[in-house]
This record gives sequence, structure tokens and C-alpha cells, in this order.
Amino acid sequence: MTPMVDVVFLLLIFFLTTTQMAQSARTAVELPHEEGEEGEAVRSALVVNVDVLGSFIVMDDAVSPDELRARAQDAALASPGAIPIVRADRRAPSARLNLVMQALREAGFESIRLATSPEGR
Amino acid sequence: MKFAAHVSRVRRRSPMLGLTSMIDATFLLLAYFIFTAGMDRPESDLRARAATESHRAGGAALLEPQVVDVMPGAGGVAVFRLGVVAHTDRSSLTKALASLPRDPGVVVRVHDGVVVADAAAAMQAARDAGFVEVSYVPAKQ
Repeated sequence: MTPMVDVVFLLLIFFLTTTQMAQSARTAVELPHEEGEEGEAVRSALVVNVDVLGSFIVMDDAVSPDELRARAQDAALASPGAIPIVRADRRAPSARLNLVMQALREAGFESIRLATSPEGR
Repeated sequence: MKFAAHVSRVRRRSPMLGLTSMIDATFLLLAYFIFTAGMDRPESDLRARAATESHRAGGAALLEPQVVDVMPGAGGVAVFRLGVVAHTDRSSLTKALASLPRDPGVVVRVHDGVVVADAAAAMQAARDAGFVEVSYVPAKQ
């Protein structure tokens, strides 16, 4: 009985932790080194990553500006009132960030959250 | 009565800890602490209203917007222009913003030719100066 309980417990921990790791997987970008602001952590309906070269990455897929607009419109329709998170590399060109902002605004999002890294300050 | 003989017969043995159980417990504790420690670096964020040049969000249409232009300067250093004054460092921008009224909010207008860190610095300066309403506007090129 004891070994079976051990195995069941290990399997339970395995599935719990692998689920958590899958959710927390983030695209590797060096965020702006800013304190940010106080506020509760939210899980956004849309997370747009902008890497150092200015490429757009959504859900681990590299997307073109047109695809980004389409995904933003889908997310805005699916989750009205949601606030998308933009995770842009601090060294990325501002022109690419502007393009993301325009796409999100045109999709109907009124606010955005620009992710920052307080640890880098 | 023979108490001494009885005590010696039921003498307690020191408890034995099974090696397998101990390894199990150690492994479980190790796994628990590894996975609860968290692997991602903590992130924060800066909230802003998304707006365009033609449609500045905020609803304060009667108030003149206060605009911080984030634009490329000489030598590749970003310049934060507030009115006619150009600031090259964030602390002076924060001081200048702190002297402005908060009600109209502030618009951070980001031009091409700078990097994301400069735009974030302007947004953070506005927050540090006490502005609640911060709008991000991509500059028309």
C-alpha cells in the first residue's frame, strides 16, 4: 500500500508542476528596467511579445503585422474589456512597438500593459 | 512484587527509520521546493491608454493635453520633449512633469528612431510624477 501511495503522490506532483511550468513559459525578451506600478496581477487574453529585432511573437508563433491585427481583433471580440500585455524587448525599435499599439487600438482595446522588469533597475 | 524484572522485559527499542521512506520524503521535499521556488523572473507593468493622433483617449476633451514627445536626439540619445523644453534624462523629466496639473493626464507620444526602453522611461516618469492617466500615442511619421 505504501509504495502505491508514494507513486500516486509523485504522479500528482508531476502533473501539477508540469501544468504550472507550461503556463509560465514566457518568450525570452529583456524587458525595460522599470519599477512599473502597483496593481494586481492579471492573466491577459492576449500577450504580444516583441523581440530585440522587432519581430512579433504571439503564443510562441512569429506573426506578421497583418496576422497580429487579426489576432488582436479575435482577442478583442472574445474578451471585451480585457487589457492586453505587450512584452517588448527594451532594445527593440520603437517603430515596432508603435505598430503593436496601433494594431491593438484598431482592434478595440482601450488600454494596454507594457511589461517591465523591476529587477533590472 | 517484581517491578524490575517486568521493566527489563518490555524495554523500549529505539525507533528505526527506513532508508526507503527517508529517500522518498527527501525527494518529495526537494521536488516541492524546486517547483514552488518559481523559475520566471518577476514582472511588473505600466498601464496606459492606447490612443492615436486622431483619437486621444481619456475623455478629457475640454482640457489641453500635456504631451511628452519621445524622439531621437543627437548622438543616438533619446530626448524627452515637454513643451519647448527638451530633457535628456528621466529625473529632470519627472521633476518637470511633477509641476504640471494631474487632471488633464499626460500623453506620451513615441516617435520612430528610439527604443522601447525610452518609451517605457517616459511612461514611468509620468507615473512617478503622480499621473494616473497616461496615454500612449504612436507619433505620425
